[in-house]
Amino acid sequence: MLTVQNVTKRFGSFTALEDINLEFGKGVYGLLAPNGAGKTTLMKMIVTLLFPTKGRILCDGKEILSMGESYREKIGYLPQEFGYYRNDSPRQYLRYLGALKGLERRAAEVRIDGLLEKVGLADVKDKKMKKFSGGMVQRVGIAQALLGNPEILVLDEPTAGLDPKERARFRNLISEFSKDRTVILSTHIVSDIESVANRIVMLKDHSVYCDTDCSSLCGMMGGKVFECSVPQKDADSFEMSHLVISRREETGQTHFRFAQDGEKGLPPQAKPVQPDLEDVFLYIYRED
Amino acid sequence: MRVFICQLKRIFRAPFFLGLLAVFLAFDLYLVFSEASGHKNDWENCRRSVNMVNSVAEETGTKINSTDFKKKFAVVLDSHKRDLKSFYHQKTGKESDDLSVMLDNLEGNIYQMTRGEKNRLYDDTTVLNMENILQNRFGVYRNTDFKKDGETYIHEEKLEGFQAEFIRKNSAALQSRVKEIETDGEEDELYFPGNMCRTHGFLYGILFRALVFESALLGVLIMMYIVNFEFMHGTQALAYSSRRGRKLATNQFGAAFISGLLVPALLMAVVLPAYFALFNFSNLWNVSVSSPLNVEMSGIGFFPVITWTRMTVLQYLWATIGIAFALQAVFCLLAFAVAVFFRNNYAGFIIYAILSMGIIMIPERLPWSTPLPVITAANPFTAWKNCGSWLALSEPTLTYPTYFPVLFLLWGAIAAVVIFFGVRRFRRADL
Amino acid sequence: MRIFCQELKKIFSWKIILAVLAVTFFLYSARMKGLVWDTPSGYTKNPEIVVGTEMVHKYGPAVNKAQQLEFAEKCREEAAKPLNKRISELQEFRSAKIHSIDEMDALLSQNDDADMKKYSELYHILENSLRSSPEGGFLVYLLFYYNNAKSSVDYLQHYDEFVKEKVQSVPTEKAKKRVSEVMARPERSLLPNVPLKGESDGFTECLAVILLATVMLFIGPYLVRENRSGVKSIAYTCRSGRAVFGTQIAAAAAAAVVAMLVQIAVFLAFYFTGPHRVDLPFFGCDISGLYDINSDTYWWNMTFGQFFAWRGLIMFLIAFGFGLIIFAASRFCKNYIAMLAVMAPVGLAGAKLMVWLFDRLFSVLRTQHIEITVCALVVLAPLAVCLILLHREKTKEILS
Repeated sequence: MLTVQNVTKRFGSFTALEDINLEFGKGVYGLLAPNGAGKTTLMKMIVTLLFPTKGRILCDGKEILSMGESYREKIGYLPQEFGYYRNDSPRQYLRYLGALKGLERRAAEVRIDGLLEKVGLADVKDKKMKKFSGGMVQRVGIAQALLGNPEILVLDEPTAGLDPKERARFRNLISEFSKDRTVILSTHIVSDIESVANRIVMLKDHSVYCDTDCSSLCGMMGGKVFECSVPQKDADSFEMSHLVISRREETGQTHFRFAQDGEKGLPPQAKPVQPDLEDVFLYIYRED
Repeated sequence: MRVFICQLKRIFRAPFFLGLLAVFLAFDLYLVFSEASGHKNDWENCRRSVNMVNSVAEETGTKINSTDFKKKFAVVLDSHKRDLKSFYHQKTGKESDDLSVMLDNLEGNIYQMTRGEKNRLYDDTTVLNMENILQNRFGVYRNTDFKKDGETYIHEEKLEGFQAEFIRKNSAALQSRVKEIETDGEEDELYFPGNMCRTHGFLYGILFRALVFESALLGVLIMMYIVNFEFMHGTQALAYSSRRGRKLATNQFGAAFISGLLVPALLMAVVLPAYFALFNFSNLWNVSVSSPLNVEMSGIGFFPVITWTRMTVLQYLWATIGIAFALQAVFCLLAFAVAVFFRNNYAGFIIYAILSMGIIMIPERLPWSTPLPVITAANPFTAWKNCGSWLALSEPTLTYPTYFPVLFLLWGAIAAVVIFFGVRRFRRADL
Repeated sequence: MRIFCQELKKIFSWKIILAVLAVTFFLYSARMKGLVWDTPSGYTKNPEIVVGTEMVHKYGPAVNKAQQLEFAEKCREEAAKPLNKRISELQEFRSAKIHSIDEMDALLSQNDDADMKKYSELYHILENSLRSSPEGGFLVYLLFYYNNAKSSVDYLQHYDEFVKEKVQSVPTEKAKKRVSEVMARPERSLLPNVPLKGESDGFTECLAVILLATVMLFIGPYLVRENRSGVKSIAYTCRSGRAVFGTQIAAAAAAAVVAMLVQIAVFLAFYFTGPHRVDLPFFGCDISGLYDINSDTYWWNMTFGQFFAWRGLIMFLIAFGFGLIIFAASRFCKNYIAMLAVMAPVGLAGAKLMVWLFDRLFSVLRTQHIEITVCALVVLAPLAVCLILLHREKTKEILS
C-alpha cells in the first residue's frame, strides 16, 4: 500500500501540489489532469526524484525516503521524456539498467529477452537505439520499467508515440501485470485509462479533485451529455453558447456532442447519450 | 540579417565564450606583468633594460655609427660608470675601476639588495653591456657565410634535386639580404639587445604565440558550437524545416567566422596596450627589426632575426598582427570544415587536434628529394609553432619569402574544397 | 561491482582509446625520439656514460677525490679518441703539425692572436668534417663531449673555488648550509649529469603531458555524456539509486589510474630497452652527482633510482588530481563545448604546473617541501569537491 499523506510541493513561490492525500493499493490507477496540474511532480515524488515540501509518502507504513534501496527495489519508473544511450542496443541498455536494479546477471538476461519479446522488439534487440523510431524507443522504456518485476509501476505518458496496435498491446501488458501490483499511470489518451484503470485520480487547482472508479466518474455526468445536429450556418453560434465536446461536419449539418447542466436552453433535437471519460475530463476542466 | 544577429547573440551570450575570454585575458596579462616584474631571475630585469635602452635612444638617437650618437652615448656611458662606482662603494665600502670586479661582487650580493638598489644595478649593467654589444655587433653577420652553411647542410644531409636547389636559393637570398643589411644602414641601427631585453623573443615568441593559440582555440570552439547548435539541442527538425531552411548554415558560419575574428581583436586590444605601456618602445618604432642587436638565444645557439625585407619595428608589429588575423581565419575555416562532417563536437575537436599534430609532423617525414616538405611546411599549425620567426629566417630548410602567401592560398583552397563537399553533403543529408 | 564495471566500459570506449593512442603516438614521435632511437654518437656513446658505467662496476656508486679525477681524465681520453682518429685523417691538421685534439686546444692557452685564429680555423675544419661524415652529422656531438669532459677536469682541479661561488649563488641560509654540506662530502656520486638533466627533462615534460592528456581525454566526456543522455531520472530510481554517482566517481578515478599505469608501463618499456638502458648502473648513485656545480643541489639524500620513482609518482598524482578537477567540472557541463572550454585551460594549467615543478624538483633553489604540498593540494582539493558533489547528489532534485 502506497500512501500519500498531506503532501505539498512548492518550487519557490509557486505551489505545484497542495495537501494531497491518496492511497494506492493493488490495481491500476489512472492519473488524469491537464498539463501543468502536477501529475509529473506527484509521480516524481513517489519515485524519490523530488522531495515533498510538506507531508510524507509511505510504503506499507514506512516513509519511502528512509527506506532507501529497499523501496527503490520495488519500483519501476518510466518518465515522460526518458533518456537512453544512442549507441547502445536495447539489450545493452537493459543490461546496464538491470545492474542498477540489482538483478542477478543470468536472471537479468532471461528477463531482458522475455521483456523484449513481450514489447515486440525481439528482432532488433542488438540494433543501436539511435536507429529506432519513437515508438520503438518508448517500448524499450516500458521494458526497462518492468525489468525489475516491480511491485509499484509508475508510468508517465507511457503510450506517447505508440500506434493503436502498440497501444492495445500495452494495455494488455498492463492489465496482465497489474494483478497483485500497483500501477500508476498518467496519460492524455483517455481511452487508455478508461479501459484498464480500476480507479481514476483527478487533480484540479493543485489538489485532488476526485478519486473514484471510472463508472462512478462517468455516472457523475449522467444526464448531462447530449448529441444533436444543427444547420452549418448556426454551428458557430451553437459552439459559442455550449460546452462542445466534439464537432463533426456532415452534408449541410454539423453534428455536436456537448455537455450541459440542466435542460435550460437545450435544443429540442438534442438527445441524451451515455457519458464517457473524455466527456467528464472536458466538463470538469472547462474553465482551464 | 535578423537571423545573423541572433546567431551572434547566441555566441556572445554563451558562458564558455565569456569564461574563456576572461581566462585568456587574465593569463596573457599575467605573462606580461610577470615579464615586466622580472621575478624569473634576480640578475636581470628585461623591462628595466628595455626602458633604459629606450631612454638612451631618446638622448642619443638610433644611428649607432653617427658621430652624434657616439658622443652622446659616451656621455651616458660615463654617467652610468660613475654611478656604478658610487653604488659599489656604497655597498662594499671599496673603490675599484675594474667593471667586471664591481659587477661580480654586486651581483653576488643581489639577494641582500632592496628593489630600488636592484633597479639601479639593472640600469647600470644595461648601459655597460650596451657598450660591448654595440662594439661587437659586426660579428653577428660578418662571421657567417650563409651560402657556405647551406652547401654544408646539403652535403651533410646528402640532398639533391629540388631540395638542394631550394636550400641553395634560400641561402643565396639570405646572403644577399645580409649584404643589404650591411650596406643600407640596418647594421648601424640601435635596437633592444636581444640577450638583455628579449623583446622579440617574448613579444613574438611567447606573447603572440599565446594570443594566436588562444584565438584559435576559442575560434574553433565557437565554430563547432554554432554549426552544430541545432543538433546539440535537438531543434534541427524545426530549424531546417523553416523558411530559411538549410541556408541557416550560411548565417551560422558567417556569425561564427566574424566572432572568431573578433576574438584576437579583443585579446590584442587589451594585451598589447598593456605590454607597450610597461615596455616603452617610443623611440625605437622606426628602427629595423633586422638590427644585429636583435640576437637572442634560440635552440642550441644565438640566432639573429633577419627579415626577408627591411621592416621597421612598427611595420613588423602590424605585419604580425595581420598574419595572426589571417591565420585565425584559416583556423576557423578548418574548424567549419571539421564541424560539418562531425556532429559530435567532442569527436570533432579531437579530430581537429589530432590533424593539427599530424600536419605539424608531416613535413619532417617526407622525402627531401621532392618539394613536398617545403609545401607541407606552409601550414597554419607549423606557422603557429614558428611564431617569433615570421617573415624572417627560422629553419633555413623550411622558410622562404613567399611562405605566407603559399600558406594562405594552399590552406584557403583546402578549406574551400572540404567545405564545398561538406556543405553539399549537408544539403542532401537526412536530418 | 557490476555497475562499476559497466561504468568503466562507458569510459573506455574504443573511440577514445583510439584518440589517446593517436595523441600518444604523436607525442612520442615529436618529443621522445631520444628515448626510442639511438644514433651513432648518441646517448649510449656519451663518454660520461661509458666511463661512468665502468667505474661504477669497479668502485661502486661513490668515488673519492683521486677516483673523481681519474673519472674526469678517462672521460676526456674517451672523448678525444675518435676526434684524434679524425684529425689524423685531415690534411689541414697534418700541414699545421697538429696531431691531436689536445694539441689543438693548447693553441688557445698561448693567448696569441695568430694561434687563436689558427685554432678557430682548425676547429671549423674539424666541425665541418664531422658534420659531413658518412656515418652522419651526429658525430659533431663528439666535440661537445670533449669540451664537456675538458671543463669537468678543470672543475675538479679548482673544486674549492667553485664551491664558494655555488654557496653564494643560493638565496637562503638553509639552502647555503645544505649546499656546503653536500659539496663537503669526501666521496661523491658517480652519477653523470645527463640521466638527470638534458634528455631526461624532455622525457619528463612529454610524459607529464601524455599522462595529463590521457586522463582528460577519458574522463572529460564521461559525465557530459551522462548529462546529455538523460538516463539519470531512471538510474536514480533504481535500487542503487543516487549511490551510482559515487560509483561513477570511483570508476573515473580507477580509469585514470589504469590509463596512467598503462602509459607509464609503455614509457618504462622504452626506457629500459631503448638507449636509456645504459642509465641502469647509475640507479644506485646519489643524485648529487659528480658535476654538481653546474646542476642543482637537492634538499634530500636519495639515489637516482629513488628520484626517478619520485618523479613518476609526482607526475601521476598531479595528472590524477587534474583528472578529478575535470570530472567535477564536467558534472556541470551540459554540452561538449562547455566541457572543452573547461578542459583546455585546466589542461594547460596542469601542463604548466608540471613543467614548473619538474624544472627544479627537490632543488635547494626552491622552498623545501613545495612538491609534496602541491601534490597534496592538487589531489585532495578536487577529491573533497567530488565528495561534496556526492553528498549534494543525495538531496538534489531531478527536475528533468
